Amino acid sequence: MNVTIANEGGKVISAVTGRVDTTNAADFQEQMKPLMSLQNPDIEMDCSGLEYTSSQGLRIFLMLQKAVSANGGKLVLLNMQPQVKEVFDITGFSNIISIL
Amino acid sequence: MNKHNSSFANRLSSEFVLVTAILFITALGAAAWCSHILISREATKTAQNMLDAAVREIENEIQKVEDAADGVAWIVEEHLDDPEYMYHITNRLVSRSDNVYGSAVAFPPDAFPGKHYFAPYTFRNQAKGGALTSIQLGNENYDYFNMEWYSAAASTGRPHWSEPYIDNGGGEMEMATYSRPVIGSDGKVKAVVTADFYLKIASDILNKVHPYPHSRTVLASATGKYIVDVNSGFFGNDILSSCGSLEDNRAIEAAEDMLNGSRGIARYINNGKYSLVTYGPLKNGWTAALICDYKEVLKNSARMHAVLFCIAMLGLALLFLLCRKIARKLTRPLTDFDKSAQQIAEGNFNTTLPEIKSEDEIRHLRDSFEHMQSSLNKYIEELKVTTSARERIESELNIANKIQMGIVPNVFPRDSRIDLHAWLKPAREVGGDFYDFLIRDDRTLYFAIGDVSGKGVPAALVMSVTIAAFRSIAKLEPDSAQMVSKINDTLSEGNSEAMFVTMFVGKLDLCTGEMTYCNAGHNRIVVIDPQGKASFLNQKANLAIGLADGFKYEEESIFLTPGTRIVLYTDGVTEAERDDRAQFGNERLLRWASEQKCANAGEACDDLYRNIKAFTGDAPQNDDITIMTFKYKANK
Repeated sequence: MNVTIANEGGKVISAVTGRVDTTNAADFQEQMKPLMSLQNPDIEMDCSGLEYTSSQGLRIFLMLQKAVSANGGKLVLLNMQPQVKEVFDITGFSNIISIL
Repeated sequence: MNKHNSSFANRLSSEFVLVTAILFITALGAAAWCSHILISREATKTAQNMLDAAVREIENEIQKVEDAADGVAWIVEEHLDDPEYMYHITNRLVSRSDNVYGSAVAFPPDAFPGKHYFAPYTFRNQAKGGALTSIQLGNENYDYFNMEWYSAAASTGRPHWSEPYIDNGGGEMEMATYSRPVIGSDGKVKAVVTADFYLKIASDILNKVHPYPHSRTVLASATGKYIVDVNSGFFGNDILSSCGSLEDNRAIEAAEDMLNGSRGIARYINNGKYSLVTYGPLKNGWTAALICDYKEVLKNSARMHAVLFCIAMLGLALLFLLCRKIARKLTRPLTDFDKSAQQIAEGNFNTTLPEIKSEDEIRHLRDSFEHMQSSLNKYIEELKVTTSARERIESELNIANKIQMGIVPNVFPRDSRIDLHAWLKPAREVGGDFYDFLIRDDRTLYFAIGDVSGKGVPAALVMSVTIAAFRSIAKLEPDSAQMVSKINDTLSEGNSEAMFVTMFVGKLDLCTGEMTYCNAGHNRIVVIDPQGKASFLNQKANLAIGLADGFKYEEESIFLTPGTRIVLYTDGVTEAERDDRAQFGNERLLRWASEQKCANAGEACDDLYRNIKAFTGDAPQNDDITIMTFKYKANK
């Protein structure tokens, strides 16, 4: 599991790869932390490399969403793989996080 | 313990003493060798000096005999015309020389008219108590002209000492005769004056030379005949032949050298004994020898060696004892440390360490021990605290597990219309999964299954709140969507940790088979129709509980034909993982649902779990697993 963060044309471009499960959820939260306190809170996150997320991973996406909203920004998750998208759909997370 | 220590001290001192002993013995050996040489040389010199002194004394006696004979030669010459006067001369000679046994003046044949033999002789007559007796020696039976004592001097015109002999005429005495020719003015031998040397005198002198208990002295004539052998009766024997019988050639070589008139020392082996011989010539051609047992000569040296050896052994023994005492003293702290270490090993970390006054390695060892003690104490204290904390948490979690297992219902409805069973297994002691059910008014079955995000204590706390909310709300609120909305409102308040709950709440009319439900982001439930065909329920996702206050949840409904089964589960079922990260998944779940032939709900729960375990194998359970299944039998 790895999170990259870059600035491109006024937007924060981020990408997450690998699996988020019980064993590395805390690490994932730690890597996501910088994204939760940005000056420019608009974030595009590429999820094409994300293979699996447990409910703990979902919780961290949710925390990010809350933080971005509180900062007046917008979070967009891109290129999500179907099995991951399914988790977002089943739990209704697709309703509160924009997934393109 | 003590044994180890003493053996260490013993080894240390043994090695030290061994090295010292080698040095010691080498030095002593050198000293012994030098002393042996010195003592041997000194002893030889002493023996030689003693022999020389004896030789001088015998020469003195011989000189007196020669002087006595030489002293009367001129008187004989002056009285050649007076034969009777010769008796007077011999008489005077013997009486004046106490070491002369007898004396003769022997004349050549027919020196006086009518006297073919004429040799007046005076001797100490033993038969008469030593009184001087004078006789005329020569006659037909005693033809002295051809006897050595006369002929040797008369023919050469020079003085002569005879070979030793035993006098048969008088007292059976050992004798040697000195013959002195009297030469006339015409150069011819006019007479031969003789003096008999009493050899007991020489033997008495040699007898006094007795430096060692078994030493003996020998006097030999010019031709190598024994004159005196103090310790044996070899008189007259040939010295060369007796030496030649010895196995050691050095003996005969020494004898030959001695008879050649040399002065010297020799060593040879006789009957296995080392002998030392010193020898020297007398001026009349005789030779003397002193023969000593070499062992006796070196007795002092041997004694000294014994003393040295004793001193060395005693010294080494003392050194060993001293070394061991010192080594024991030095290693005693180690023994004490050993005791301390054992005490510490037995758990007595505060045991008193031995006092070390020196500033050396032992002191460093003590400091290290002290450090170890304090570190051990610190670690043990920390361990105690950690252990007690862990034990407390473990016991609390154990209790929490029992509480949680008590919260979810374990008694299932005994109703002919419904066969329901549920089963929950947390991944840790406590978990975030839950299920619940109740039958209201003997007609409606309310049921719920849920999964709090995360695991462990935080999830368990949220689970308790959720199940409590469900129970209190389910009693009052018949509409499932309203029920979920109210639970959502309760949980969303102050949810700073973004915990959320996926939940499926259903309501089954046991009479009509109508099932109304509201899903809050939970996994799709499985419906198995009476023919055994399994499919996921096409349920609306809505949103997991706890995320959005005031979210509008929607209710849906279906009719269950009698014989339909419902399987509710949490993601611990579909996301159960093998070691290779493959998940149990929706397909396996559906396949199991279509293929299972379980007789009742309880069996179905067990069978599904068995399938999951068969799939995951030894991989640890990574999430809470909850299964709830029921079969709607028939409406009455």
